[in-house]
Amino acid sequence: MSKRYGFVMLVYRCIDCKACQVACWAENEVPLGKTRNWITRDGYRGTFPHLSVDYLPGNCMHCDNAPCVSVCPTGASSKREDGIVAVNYKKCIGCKYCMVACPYDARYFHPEKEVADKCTMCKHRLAEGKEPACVTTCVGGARVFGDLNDPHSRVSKLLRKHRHKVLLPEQGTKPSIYYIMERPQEGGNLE
Amino acid sequence: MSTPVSKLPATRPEQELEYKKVQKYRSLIELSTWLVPALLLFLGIIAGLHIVAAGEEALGTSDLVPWGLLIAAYVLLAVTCSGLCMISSLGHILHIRKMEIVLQRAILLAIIILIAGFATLATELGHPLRLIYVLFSPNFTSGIWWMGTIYGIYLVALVVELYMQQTGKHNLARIMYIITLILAVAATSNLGSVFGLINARPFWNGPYWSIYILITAIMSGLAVVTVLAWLMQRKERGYRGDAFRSSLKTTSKGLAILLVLTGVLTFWKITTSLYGGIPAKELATLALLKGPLAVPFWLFEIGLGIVVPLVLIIAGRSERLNYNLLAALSSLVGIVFMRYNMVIAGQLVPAGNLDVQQAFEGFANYLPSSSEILVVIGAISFIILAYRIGEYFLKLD
Repeated sequence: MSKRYGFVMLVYRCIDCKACQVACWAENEVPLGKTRNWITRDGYRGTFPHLSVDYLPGNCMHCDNAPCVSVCPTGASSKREDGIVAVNYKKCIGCKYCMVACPYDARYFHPEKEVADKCTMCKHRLAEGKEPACVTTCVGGARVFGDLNDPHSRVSKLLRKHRHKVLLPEQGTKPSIYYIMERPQEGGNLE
Repeated sequence: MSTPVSKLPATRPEQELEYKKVQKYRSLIELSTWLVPALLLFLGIIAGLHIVAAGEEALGTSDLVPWGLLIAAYVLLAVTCSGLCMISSLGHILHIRKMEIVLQRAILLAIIILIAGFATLATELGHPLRLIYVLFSPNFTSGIWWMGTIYGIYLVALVVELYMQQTGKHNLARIMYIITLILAVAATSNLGSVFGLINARPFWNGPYWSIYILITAIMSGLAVVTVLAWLMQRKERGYRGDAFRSSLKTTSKGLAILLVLTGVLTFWKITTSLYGGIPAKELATLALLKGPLAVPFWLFEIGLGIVVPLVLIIAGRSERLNYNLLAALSSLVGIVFMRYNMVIAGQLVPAGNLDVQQAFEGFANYLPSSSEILVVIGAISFIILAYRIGEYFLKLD
């Protein structure tokens, strides 16, 4: 079976430090003012005064049913066999249809290359056997990356063991990024 | 028998002087009708080159609002082209004699307007060759691919149709009327589907825009033909002048019907988008009703685009030529904003908006840059100039 890369976000581990964004900027030379990944906030948990908030790290969802792939007039955006939604810069005509069609607003327009750009799961690092920069740098270990088709991978084990969700499921995009919202007991670990 | 000029009673010197003044004044106006569009076209080309060179910096668009005025202008021009073609083809196929005199002119205008539309789109893409590349690397699931390809074929078909008309091959031209009519309907409804196929933008999603754009295409085509017929009837005398006047009244009646239809469609679009309070749909509609697009919507799209022309046509019972002209001009101004509102409103509410704690409230910002505005003005000037040259060289009766 071919690989299908994806992320599992252990939400309780994200501390909103934004190191993933900084690492991505540095690794992928993301232009100033643009970003390939982000951290958003979920609703408050608990009741006053015992309130807490969840941080949701995110990037391109590398959807199985990716609208950006369907709408791209030249096929510059494509879903690779390994699950990565990639952009072929040579084929991109800069029509920005993918940017309009993405329900997660995951794409930006690269001002110098004049193409629509986004997270590539650091495919150049994957080719070298390394994990994406955002995963390597994540201080709390909130971003877990791996092969969703491999039953022994960490991501598969986490998904089997814990309830998880995807963002905007009503869009029918079948994202490859899963969020585990559960929290371990005090001092414990979900794994 | 005509009287020899030498035997005509001599005109008084003051009258002669007055006549010369008027003639001089007229030739100045004539000259300025060439010079002003030429100057504006030149400015448009400079602005276009600036956009190509400077890229995103020269545009008012952003990652939140990726499509701006140039896309709206492309929609405006492509749809107007389709409208003109549909009128011309239907006029020929159904033998609407009252409109005969404007039908060939409508095809010439359609070709010129579509070329202007493609030029606007190429400017937005930042490189003319990117437009052509679509044909060589197709993705058949893309609305833009279908729209672009059909419009490309359609342009070729329009040129063939005009050629057939010009060379007197009427039987072949008749076949082309049917082909271009089918292509016009296909291209226009596909253009609507470019918006309708986007699930991420509830304001656009659905079959509405394909139908709306088809109906408003005919409306914009009728408005352009009305203006054209008014201008022509001013120049022409005798039978030809009467023919233009007659067609002007017919197109105005058609325009009135389509104005009512567009008003009804707009009313239900607004009502269904507000009903039930589906957030992104409702917010985009509120952007039109009382948000950043309120002035373009109420004053231009509804006021000048629908109400004023309808009142003028009804007041003049479509018989008063100047009323008809004003109605057509007013609706054309409205149509410009109609396209703008359609493209921009769908984007003012960000699709993602994933942060629950700090959800994006209000609307994203978009204001066209001066370069974008100049490109659109340049495109319109190009249409005026190219049509006048065409009218001069081609036999369009």
